[in-house]
Parts: sequence; C-alpha cells; structure tokens
Amino acid sequence: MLQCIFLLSDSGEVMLEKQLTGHRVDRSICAWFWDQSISQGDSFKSLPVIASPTHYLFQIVRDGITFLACSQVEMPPLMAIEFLCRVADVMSDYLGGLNEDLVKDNFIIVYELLDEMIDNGFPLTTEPSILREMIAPPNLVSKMLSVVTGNASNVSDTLPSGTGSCVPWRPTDPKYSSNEVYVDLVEEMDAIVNRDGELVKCEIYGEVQMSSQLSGFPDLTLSFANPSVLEDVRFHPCVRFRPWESHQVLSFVPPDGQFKLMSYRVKKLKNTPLYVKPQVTSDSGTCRVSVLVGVRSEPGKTIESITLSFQLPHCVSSADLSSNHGTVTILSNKTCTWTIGRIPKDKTPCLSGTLVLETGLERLYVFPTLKLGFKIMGIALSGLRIEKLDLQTIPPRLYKGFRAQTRAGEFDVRL
Amino acid sequence: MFNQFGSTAETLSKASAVVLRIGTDAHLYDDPEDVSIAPLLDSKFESEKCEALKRLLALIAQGFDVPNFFPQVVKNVASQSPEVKKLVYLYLLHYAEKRPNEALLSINYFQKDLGDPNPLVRAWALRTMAGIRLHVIAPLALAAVSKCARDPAVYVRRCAANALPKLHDLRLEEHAPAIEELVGILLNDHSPGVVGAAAAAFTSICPNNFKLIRKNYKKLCQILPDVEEWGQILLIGTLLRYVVARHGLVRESLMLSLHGLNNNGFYEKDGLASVKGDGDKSDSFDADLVSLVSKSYIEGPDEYLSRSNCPDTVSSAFDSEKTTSIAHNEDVKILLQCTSPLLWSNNSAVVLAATGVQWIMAPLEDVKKIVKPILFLLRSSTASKYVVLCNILVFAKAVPSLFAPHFEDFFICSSDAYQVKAHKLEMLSLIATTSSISSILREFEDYIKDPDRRFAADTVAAIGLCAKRLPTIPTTCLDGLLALVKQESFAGDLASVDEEAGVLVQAVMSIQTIIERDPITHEKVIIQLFRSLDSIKVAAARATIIWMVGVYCSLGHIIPRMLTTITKYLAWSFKSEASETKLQILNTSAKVLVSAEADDFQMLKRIVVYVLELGECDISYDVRDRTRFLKKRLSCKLEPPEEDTVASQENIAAHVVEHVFGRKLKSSSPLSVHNRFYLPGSLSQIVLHAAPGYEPLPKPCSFVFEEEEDDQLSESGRQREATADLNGSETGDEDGSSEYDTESSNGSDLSSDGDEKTTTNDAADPLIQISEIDVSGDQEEVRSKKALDLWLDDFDKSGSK
Repeated sequence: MLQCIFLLSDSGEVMLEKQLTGHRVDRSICAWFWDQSISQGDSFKSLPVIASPTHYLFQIVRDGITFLACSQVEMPPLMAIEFLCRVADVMSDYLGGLNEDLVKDNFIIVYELLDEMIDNGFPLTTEPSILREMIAPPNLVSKMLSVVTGNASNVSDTLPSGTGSCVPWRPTDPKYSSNEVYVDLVEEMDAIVNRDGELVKCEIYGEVQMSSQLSGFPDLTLSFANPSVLEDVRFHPCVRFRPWESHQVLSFVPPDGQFKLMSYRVKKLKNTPLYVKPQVTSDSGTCRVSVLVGVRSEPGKTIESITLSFQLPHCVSSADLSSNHGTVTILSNKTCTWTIGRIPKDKTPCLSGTLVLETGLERLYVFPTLKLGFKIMGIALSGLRIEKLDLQTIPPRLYKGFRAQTRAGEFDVRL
Repeated sequence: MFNQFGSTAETLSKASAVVLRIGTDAHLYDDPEDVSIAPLLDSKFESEKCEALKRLLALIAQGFDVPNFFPQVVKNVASQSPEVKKLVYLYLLHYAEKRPNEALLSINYFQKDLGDPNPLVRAWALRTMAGIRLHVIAPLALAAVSKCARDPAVYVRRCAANALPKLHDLRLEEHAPAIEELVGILLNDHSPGVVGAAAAAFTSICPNNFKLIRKNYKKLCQILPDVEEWGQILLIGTLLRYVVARHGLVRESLMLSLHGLNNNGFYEKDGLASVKGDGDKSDSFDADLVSLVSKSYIEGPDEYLSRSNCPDTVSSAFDSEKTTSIAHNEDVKILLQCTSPLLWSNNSAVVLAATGVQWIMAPLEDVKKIVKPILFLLRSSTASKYVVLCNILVFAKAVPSLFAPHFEDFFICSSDAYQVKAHKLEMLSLIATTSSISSILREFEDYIKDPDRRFAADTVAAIGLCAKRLPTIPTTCLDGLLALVKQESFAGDLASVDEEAGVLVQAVMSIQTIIERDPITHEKVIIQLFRSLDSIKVAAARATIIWMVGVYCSLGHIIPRMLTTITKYLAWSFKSEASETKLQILNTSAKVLVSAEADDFQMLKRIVVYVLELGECDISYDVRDRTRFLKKRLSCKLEPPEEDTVASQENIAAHVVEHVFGRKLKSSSPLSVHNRFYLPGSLSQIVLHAAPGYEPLPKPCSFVFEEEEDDQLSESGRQREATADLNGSETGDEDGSSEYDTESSNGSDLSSDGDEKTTTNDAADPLIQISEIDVSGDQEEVRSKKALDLWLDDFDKSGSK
C-alpha cells in the first residue's frame, strides 16, 4: 500500500509531505526523483511507474504540480495512479485551480483532505460530495469570517450522514427549496488525418455530466433515444447495472451537486465538422507552407474558438508565417499557434508563409503534426440524444435542463 | 462583486489574488517561525492553539523536524474543537514513533474519545491510536479495534478494518490469531463499505487464509458491485485467489486450452480464430506463450528460477484433476457473473482487476468481452494509459487475434508520451494481419516523417517485425525501406545526425531481418545495399552491410562476381573507418577469402593480406587483436603448404577455418522463454520483476476445507498437503516446492538456486530496506526477500549482458 505522498512544485521543491504509514519515507527520494527527471528528460517525466533504488514511485503531473506516491510492496499500480488523479481532482475543485501558490496558501486544507482521503495507505473517502461535508472548502465568506473573528473551523464535527447509508455517495436528506437537475453531454472528438489527407480515425469520447440539487432520496431514470450508437461505456458507482444490461436505461440515485454520471465512446464516425488542408513544398533550403481551414459539414451551430497549433521541426531555423484571418504567434520554443476564432462568412482562413531551413538542408524531411482545436455549443456530434429523464417521485418546483457541447480532443492533422 | 467598480480584467485578477490570500494560511506557510510557537500552544484560546499547530505542520511540510514540541502538543489532545483535534492528530501521527514516552500520555484521551457519542470522534481516536506504532500499546489498540469492529456506525467499522493492517504491521505473534479473527468478522459485515476495507485488510494480513472467505464466498460475490471502488479492486483479487485455491483453473478457459484437456477444434469452432476471417490460424493463438503465461501466473519466484534452468519441462504442470469446469461449478460461475459488470466501472483499476479475472477464468469464447472495456481505458488519463498498455501487450502476445480488429485504437497521436508510442508500435506489429497490414503500413509511413527521430527509428524496426510475422508483405516493405536508406544517407550528412543515424541503422537492420527469411529471392536488394555502401556514412549501418557481404558472399550468381570489387573498396576505405566497421571489414574479408572461388582467389588473397597489414598497426587494440587472430587462423590459406609433413595439421587448420568463417547463417527466432509474466494489473508486471510482496495465484486446489476431507482422502496424495496447510493457516512456499519437485526432474538445479540466494542475501539489504522492527522471521518478510533476490538476479543478468 502507499507509504507517502509528496507534492512537488514545477521547480522540484517539495511543497508538502504526508506520511501514511509507520514506515517513514525520507524526502531524499524526491531529490533522487528530481535529479533523474532532469538528467533523463521528458521520457522519465512521462513514466508513471518508476522503480527507484529504494521505493516504487507513482507519479502524475497536473498543472505543473507533480504528485508523487511511494510504495515498497506490490500493489495495483492503477490504484495508486487513479487515487492520485482523484486527489488532484478534489484539490483543484477545493482550491479553484492548481498551482504552487494555491497549494502553499491552503496547505492545512490539503493536509486535512489527504488525511480524510487515505488511511494507512488505503483510500478512505474519495467521493467529493461527502468530502465537502467533512471539510468545508475555502470560500470568500469563511475567509472573511476568519479574518474578522480570527476563528473559523473548516473541519466538520459531525460525520456525514451518507457514510452509513446504502448510498454512500449521497447525504441522506438534503433539502432544497427549488429542485434542479441539469444534464450535460460533453463530447470530445478524437481524429487522425494522415498525410494523404485521409480521415484515418474519427471517434467521440463523451461524458454525461450532471448537476443535481434534489431534496430527499430521488430515484432517477435517464434514457437515450439511440443507445445503440454507444460503443463503450463506464459508469459512476451510483448507476445500477441491471437496467442497463436489460434495456440500456440508466437508473440511479444521484450524488448531490456536480458529478460525472457516465463516459462513453462512439467509434467510426465518417465526418469532421472542419477540414484542414495543408500544403508544403520545399526547395533549395526554404519551404513554402499554406494551410486552409474551412467548414466541411455545417453542424447547425457555430463553430467557435478554432485554433491550430504545431511544433516547428528542429531543422527549421526561422519561420515567417501570416494569415488572412486571426492571429499567428510563434513562441521561442518553436511552438506555433494560429488562433482563428470563428470562420468568417466571406473568406476561407489561410495560413501561409515560408520556413527557412538550416543551412545544408535542401528540403524538409520531417513534418510536424497540426493539432486542431474547436468548440461547438449546443450539439453532440456523436448524434447521441437524451430521450427523457424521469423521477420516481416528482418533488415540487422541479426544473430539468439539458445541454450539449462538442470540442476537439486529440485532433491530429499530419502535415 | 468587483464588476460594479468597473475594474478591468487585470486589476480584477490582481484584486482577487489578494483576496484569495486573505484568510488562507499563506503567511503561516511562508514564515512559520516568525513568532515563537511554544507559548501559543499553551494559550487558552483555541484559535491561538490552532495557529501554532498550523505553524508546526507548515514546518513539517517544508521538511523541518520539530519533534521537541511533542509534549505540549499532546496536552491539546483533550481540546474540544474538532479542528484542533484534527491538527493534533496529524502532528501526533507524524512523530509518535520518535517520542514513545510522551505518546503514551495521550492514550488516556484516546480511550476516553473512543467512548464518545460522536462517531467521527471515535473514528479519529481509533485511527490515531492504531497509527501510533508502539508495542506497548498494541494490546490496548487491539482491544479498541475489536470494540470498534462492532460499532453501530459504518464509518467507525471501516476505520477499524483499516486499523488492522497497522496492528499486523507491528509483527506481534501473540495477536495474530485475534487480528485474523477480526478480519473474518469484518468481512462478514453487512455493509458494503466495511467489506471493502476488510478485503484490503485481508489482502495485507492473511492473503492465504481462505477459510475466512469460504464462509461467506457467495455473499461477498453478491455484495461486490456495491462495495466502494477501492475495496472492489482488492476484493476481486481475493475472490479470484480463493476460487483458484479451492477449485483450480477452469478447463474451458484460455489458460488451460492447450493442455490437451480440450477436445480439438474447440476454439476453431466458436472461439477466437473466427473473430475475423483472417486466415492463418497460427496467428490467433500463440500456444507456447499461453501456457507460459498461465504457468507464470501460478508459479512463484523459486519455481521460475528452477524452470529457467531446465526449460524442457514447460508443459505438463497441470493435472487434470486439479481443474474444474464452468458448467458444473457454481462458484466459478458466480465469480464471472459478478465481476463482468465491473468492466463498466469508472475506476480504471477496477476495470483492470475485473479484466484479469475474465482473462484467467472465463471460458475461451467469453474472453473477448474484455477487449472493448480495456481499450476504453486507454482514453482515461495519460498516466494510466501506459500501465494499461503494458497489460494489453501481454494479452496481445498470447492471443493477437483478440485485438487484431481494433488496430485503429493503437494509432499514435502526437500527444502520446514516448513510452506510450513505443508500446503502441509494438502492439501494432504484434496484431497486424494480412487484411490490416496495408493500413498499418500507411500509418508507419507517416510516423517515419515524425520529428521525433527516436520514434521514427522504432517505427522502422516495427516494419521489420511486421514483415517477419507476415511473410506475404516483405516486397512492399523492402522497397520503402530501401528508399528510406537512400533518403537517410542524404540527410545523414547533416549536423544533427545522432538521431538520424538511428533511423538509418534501423532501416538496414529491418532489411536484414526481412532478407534473412529468404535470401535468394532478395538477391537484388542485397546488391542494391552493397552499392549504396559508398553513400552511407553511419558506422553502425556500414558495419551491418559489411557483415552482410560476409554472410551472403556465396549467394546466387551475381554477388560472387562482385566480391573482388567490394573487397577492394573495403580495403581502400579501411583507414578512414570507425573501429566498429574495421572489425567487420576484417571478419568479412576472412569470410570472403574462405569461400572464394579459384580464379578470384589470388586477387582476394592479396587484398586480404593488405587489409591484415593495415589492421596490425591500427591504433585500436581490439582491431589489432582481431587482426592477429585472423592472421593466425588464415595462415593456411595465405601461405601455400611447403612440406608434406605438416599437411595433416594444415588440414585440421583448414577445417577449423572453414567451420568458423564458412558457416551459413541459420535463421534463428529468439524464443521468448525467458519472458516472465506476472498477474494482470500487478505492479510486478509493470516493473518486470517480482516486487516484494508479490504473490502468484495459489496452487490449484491447494485449499480443501474440513467437511470434504473424508470424501477426498482416498483420491490422491495431495490432500495430505492441503490439510497440513489448513492447520498451518498459510498455504505458501513449502507446498509449492513439493508440488514442483515432480516437474523439475533434477534436484541439483534447485539446490544451486539455493546457494545463489544465500550469497545475494547480503547484497539485497542496502538496496531495498524494509524498515521493520524485526520481531520475528515472519513468513511475509522471507517471501519478500526472495522476491528481491530474484529481482537482483534478473538485474545481474541484464547488467552482464
């Protein structure tokens, strides 16, 4: 089981250590870890499981902060990684983001959270809504109060009622004057367009996110109009397996507040909303580039915040790129970003310019991959439709809301 | 609220940054020691105590040691404020071991808190008390845990379950039975939350005490979907181990599909070969590997070592009596039923654990249902992606056809980390089939142009592997590779060549792998390579091609005629070569000379003599050594025999020379016998050595419970062992070795292993220290030592390579 958790800042400073068992882990392990990651570079940083001379290390990196957990014995590595991810999620939820200052400023809360989330190296309470009942998140009111009165405890002195019930993710009897439940379909499109301009792979990764503020003990049923499009699914623990197995209906007692009800995948889509047409010709040391971006099939809603970014290859010594729409920035680390925004009605956005190659190089022999970003509000590109959301007992003043959005996930266009 | 003031975004963010810091503990972290802490601790105001404790925690967080405040802090245990209490507990747990005497002072307060009506207070007290690792208070703590194990509040019972491993960790022999009994009680709890924590305790305290599981196996299976996710992970593993120990492996499963227990053609009919009509059946199933995998899951490190010494005994480990059939066994059926919905879990570790059960136990035709869930895990997070891929690779090695239709999932996207890319390439080259290879090769073409040249080099190697697996495609690959060699040799002139060279070398190597299969049909390719020798500058690539000259020097009709020219060229370029290439030139010229035909012989002899002269005065001693060796060996060829008396000796020498230099290359496929596999989802599978505490599956049918004893005693000898295990409560190593004696027929191997172990024992200590209080030579510790030794052995081997 886990023995210790360290939080490291992006400069390698140990911001926090939490020993979990009697077997203390010296923080010199962090120094070893940091030395290694400096000397071995990115390939070490992206290695989630590391066998150090004394311990097995599990690491995840979130917003520049490295979460490092140590163990000396066999344990499921995914358990450690998944737990660290959960810690990072909960922390960024509590602190309203994650960075070095936030962690340091709220180190007491982080300690209290960690203490509640893991006991003797085994995860204890990880459900966010229950944690919120035990440890109050810092908010403006409590901070002001603590400044004025000099005393405000964020540790609850009573046990959350949910821990004892058969639905441990839900407080037993929350009360709301108006009952609201919102369902969001949030989808990400993963696609690969190869160098011949062919769509090699196109699929949707989607999540059903819910926000529920319902009194009492609501029993919800969510059904889709076309569940057959779903290729793979994963559920929040609250979802009952039987109804899904028999007739693809989600039946559940929701946690209180925000949560991710399910995630799904829809494969083998035929079309992308945007096309990207790159052209490269290189000759005698220079290289002409032009990239066109346009709407391929109108999704019915406007496509917003379109961006295109790529890493210039090492062999490019200078680049002069301009566009007829949007802005182009090239950072010192050779990352080029073209911010397009929305596609204008009257013209097709085009990025063009020349790259000057290193001396001695006739033509470009390595080609970067363009990463496309976009967002479409109000539509789920997978075509998944929610049919209805039923409540077993309908509380007074119930409001139900549905939304959908699609954005680009891993959208690669190879130049 | 700031919008009312019409402030711009920038000032707003500044203002909010200031506001955010107000009321947080920022100043405490930045400067914890700006006021003296001691008086604050003794303050009568809760808020001041609180501040002092926060300052102490800030110091701990930053790595300072502040145990000297211990006595003052302990006094505050009695505080009524929950926050002060919580902070005191945090501090106490951090230092209790260092200040045992003062820690004892706090015990009274804990005992008082344990009787508190508030369950949260009880739980906190229990957690802290069990966390103070002192032998003196162990009996008190045990009493507290057994009281809390019957607490009305679920949360407290959960904490009690979590406290058990802490007590077990103290290694107090006299408490062991009591602790195990408590595990049993908590496993029997009606609340799923408690059962999950109890399963965790079971795993770390007594993973082989199957008696506890047997009592409520059915109930545990039914409760499994409701157990919280972390408990599920360990409970799944426990149930699997129990079923294997109780009933053995399933006859219809993949693991046993190759031990002749199946009627032939079973899997062709409705199993995996028909997943996609791709023709070659050898592809659907790597028979040797599957049996190796299933063996690896069951055998411990000792058996592995003994087997690797005598590789002939790969099969015949499974006795048909020790297996079960899914059709007749309720327990297996229930296990499979209750774990299969967990493939939909949100927690990737749960999915992987459930996958493991299906992989090992499910009937052959059901194994494919793990494919989609496990592939979906690849989308969860970057860190888990790598771990999941490592596991998928093992599955795919054993049964490539399982993943063959899903090859698109392994296409590489630009944000993947290097290791993920490398694993995906390996996957693609493993699962490529005749129908998917064309799309895969098209992807590979794209990858070769990737800016990450290390990855590009790996891609080229993967092409070689694909061509090796699928004999129908080499020609298309070869053309591409040759073009690549040509292009790379141009690009190779550049300054940033280090990584570029890697691509070129890999390209030449891949060509060599393809040619190796059938050299004669690829004669033209070989010639083309020889011709490109002049334009290739990278030493390693040149060395490989020159080596090929030696190997294929008597192939076909054209090459033997080119030999003089090539050898001349090599002799001419010898001086400017790297020593790696020089060595190959020397070898090759020897090989050429030996296989030379009569009319070229004189010419070649002169060239070789020249090369040898050059080699003799080289600056590298390796080259000089090699030259001298060759000169001596070749003397019979170089100098015509003068007297008849030495003719017989000359004959022998000539024979030796023929043997050393004239041998034809045999295409060898390195058998992956030394691959070691560990249970799916385990840490050991990722780090590729048995981590301390790793346990393979228990021996099939090693657990038999009392009621059945009488019926089965007559059956075979193994019952005796099993009952002995029952008494000893641990089925462990002794059992294993006795069972495997039959398999490793010569006992000498075993004993030599033993010797190795004792010698490496001392070396093991500084590497991984299990900082235990050495109370007893506990079994667990012994086991972990062994695992460590095994790892060290592996390490040595790889190091010596």
